[in-house]
Amino acid sequence: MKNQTTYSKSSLWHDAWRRLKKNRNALAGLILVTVLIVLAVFAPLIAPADPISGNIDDHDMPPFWWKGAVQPGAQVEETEEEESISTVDQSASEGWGTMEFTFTEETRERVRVPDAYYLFGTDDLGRDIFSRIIYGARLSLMIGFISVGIGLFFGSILGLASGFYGGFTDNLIMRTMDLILSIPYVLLAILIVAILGPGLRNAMIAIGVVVIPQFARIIRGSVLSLKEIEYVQAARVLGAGDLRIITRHILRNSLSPLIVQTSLTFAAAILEAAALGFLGLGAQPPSPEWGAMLADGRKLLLTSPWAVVFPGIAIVTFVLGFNLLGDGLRDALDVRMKG
Amino acid sequence: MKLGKYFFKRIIMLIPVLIVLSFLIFTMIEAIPGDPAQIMLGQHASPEALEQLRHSLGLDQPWYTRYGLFLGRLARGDLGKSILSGRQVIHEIAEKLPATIELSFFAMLIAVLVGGLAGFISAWKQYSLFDYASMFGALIGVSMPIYWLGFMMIILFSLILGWLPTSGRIDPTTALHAITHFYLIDSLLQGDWKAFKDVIAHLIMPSICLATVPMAIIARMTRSAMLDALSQDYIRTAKAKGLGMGRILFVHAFKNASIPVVTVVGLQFGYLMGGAILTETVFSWPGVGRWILEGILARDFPVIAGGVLTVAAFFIIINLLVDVLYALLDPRIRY
Repeated sequence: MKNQTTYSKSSLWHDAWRRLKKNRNALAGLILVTVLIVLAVFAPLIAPADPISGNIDDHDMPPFWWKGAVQPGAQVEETEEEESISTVDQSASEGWGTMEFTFTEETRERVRVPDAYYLFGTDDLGRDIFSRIIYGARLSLMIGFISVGIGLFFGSILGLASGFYGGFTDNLIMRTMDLILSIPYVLLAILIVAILGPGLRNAMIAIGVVVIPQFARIIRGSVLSLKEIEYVQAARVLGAGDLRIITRHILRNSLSPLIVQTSLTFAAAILEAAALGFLGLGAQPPSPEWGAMLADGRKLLLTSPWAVVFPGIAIVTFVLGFNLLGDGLRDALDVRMKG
Repeated sequence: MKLGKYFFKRIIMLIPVLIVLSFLIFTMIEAIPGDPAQIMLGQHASPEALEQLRHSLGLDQPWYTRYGLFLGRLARGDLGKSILSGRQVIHEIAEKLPATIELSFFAMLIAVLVGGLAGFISAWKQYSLFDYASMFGALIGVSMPIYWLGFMMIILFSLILGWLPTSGRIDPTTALHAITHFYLIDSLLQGDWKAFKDVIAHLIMPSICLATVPMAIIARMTRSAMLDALSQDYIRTAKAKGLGMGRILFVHAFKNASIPVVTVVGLQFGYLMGGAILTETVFSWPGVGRWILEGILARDFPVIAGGVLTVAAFFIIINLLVDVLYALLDPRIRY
């Protein structure tokens, strides 16, 4: 995903690409990430239905391949027999207090025939889960880019300042980073969202802030190891300024660990944003963000479990993709990282 | 007693940390928008009533006075009253913290036992089917939203199979007199086996859910630490001496691999505190995590302050214990 072609002339990237191709896990990760990007970019073309407004007549429809699902256009005799209608105790399902019910098969009063084929079924408002997941891919990709962007940008500045100037600056920055790292990250993200107010934008900012220390540490480590190396010294002797040394020599040579960290942080950001969405602190209800969909589908766990099953599978699949890619890149680029 | 001195030094070092922490929490709460007086009195309160309440809460004082008041109350164990419930925050903590500790303890137990064992076997039988399967499982574990796993477990074990209860700590029909609020201990103290079994049944799914991520990380860490230890010269020496594989694995390799593993286990407690918020939300577990979340959503300031301080203090204590354990395991370590 990371511009392999652009760099194909330089042997390091060529090498890395060759090794990446050999690593089956990494390749699987690359494919999953590509699928996510394609889904996100072409969402309006792929999604069969609108992600926000649903067909209320088709509420709570199971996927067409689900056991006992009625196919669209099926001829159903309207037999309204009162045969052994077993009911789920509605009072118990309220508020998740205590639930004592016997799970009985087929609790339908009337056979409803859906208007369309729903790959992943519909929710209580008749919205197509499949379409919502596809549009959710856009949000997940955006969350990844923005949060990682924030972390990368501020982390790089702090890491560079820390490694380059050392001494008091270094101490101040890195101790602050340690402090941030010592707070459980879910809790920190929640607190930041509590200060900024719930919503997708603030959730992305919160996640961005939480991941800053990881990037700062990597950059600082690179700077420290590169600062004393001959060609950097040579550049300095030739009269290169700080900025030139930083951009031409140091940043360029810390690309490998950064790329690996970016892929892994992307995975963490998607997961974290979904968690915030699930807690009601991230993306808000009509939004097809995957975590918010899970929060939404929670009340349908008994009646329409597919509304919970598939958004979760989407999260696992793509987070796994970024993790596989990150691990694979680490091997391919021969990055040694702690932890 | 060198270790005792070390322990004492670490405790003294905690004092400035706690002061900084209390200041950070105070600042954070100050930064959260919303006027507590307005929240307590509602939208249609008269300006005079608001003013009076602000005065009685000390909200009209400058920030340093409020911080001083906050610290003073903290020292007396007075964390204020919850705006939502009207109860003393310290009493709510006494009730809810045991629930979270009970949950975290079992989650950690599962994570260490299962994750450690999986990592150990994976390193021993490197590149075996078990190795591949467990490492892939670990990767799935860190890629999975645990609250979703919770839902899947509820669908399977509660709704379809009907084996386990979906939520809560105990069946409401089971009368259990809470003494310590650790329900397992309470039921044992009263010799109530029925209640004990009920509490265990309620614990299973939430603990597995919360254990997932630490389990995966511990499995990966144990494997790599063991592989690292197994590649050392002293292992070759041990093999050359003709020692059995069991002795090499357990005594020589595992002992040396245990240090990085303990570090990772210690780090996972921080994760547990965050993961508890998600797990407790899924399973309606009446613990600190869900309580803090509700506090944040309702802008219940005393609850947020008390809750975060509790979690942080808990976290710091665990870290201290891990450091001491570290010093016990590796005599070279004395900071």
